[in-house]
Amino acid sequence: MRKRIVFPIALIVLGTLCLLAGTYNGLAVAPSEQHMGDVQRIMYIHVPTAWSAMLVLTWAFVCATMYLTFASWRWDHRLEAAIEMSVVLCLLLCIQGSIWAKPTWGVWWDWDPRLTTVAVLLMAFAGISALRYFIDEPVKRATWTSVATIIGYIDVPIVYFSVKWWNSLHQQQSGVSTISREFLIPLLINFAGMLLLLAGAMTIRTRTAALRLEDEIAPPPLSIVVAEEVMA
Amino acid sequence: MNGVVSGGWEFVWAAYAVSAVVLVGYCTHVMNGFFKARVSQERGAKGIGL
Repeated sequence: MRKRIVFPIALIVLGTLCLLAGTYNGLAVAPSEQHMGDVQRIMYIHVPTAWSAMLVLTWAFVCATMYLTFASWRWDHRLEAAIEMSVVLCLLLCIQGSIWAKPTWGVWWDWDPRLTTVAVLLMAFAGISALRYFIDEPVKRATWTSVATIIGYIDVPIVYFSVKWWNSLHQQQSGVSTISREFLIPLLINFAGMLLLLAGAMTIRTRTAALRLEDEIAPPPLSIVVAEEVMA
Repeated sequence: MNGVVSGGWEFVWAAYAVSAVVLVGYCTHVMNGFFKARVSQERGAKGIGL
């Protein structure tokens, strides 16, 4: 068992090193942007967080669909890890966005389509995460959270297209072709770091979910059975 | 007002500091959860704590 988390811990360490390198590059090496100045450097952590959040939410959707199709506990453990990680990333996304909004828009928060849809996503997945703790029966818990995840995931494409469909304070998505190389390098290094860190943390969280379920559904130890029979 | 944002390093540091705290905090929470679950399972298997 001890060997089983060496690899995910290595992923976390490697991810942290990438994030440190990307952050150094973004804060000390990359030039400041023409209009936003140094505040634009928040992009090097905000955008990788947004990309990672979308990926993890999509992974949660895949896990939920696979659980409902194959009824395998493995997919439920992965779903539990993905839901928790989605909440963390959406929360982080809202906090980073709010810190960036203040110097550029003049407000910490605005009920703009992009911000509102991300806030809805955060609330939805926080609710699904809470739902898991309220249901004691493992099969019912896995089924209900899978269904809730699929329903919650409907908001993800709405988040993505919100800046195109409605008038938004938030800028539209930039692509690799529209970003200068100096800005792209720290962005991609931080994204790689974020992915490695998340992969490590989610692998450990998945194994924790498996251990907890084994503990939950394990038959009582023989000593309890004997003690109960003696009491009877 | 010329449409250019000047200064703002305090916001940059704040964004990175919050991100570091959240990510380090979550990774610590995940590792603690794993070790607690493993200890709990080992105890259950040995029948300790009855």
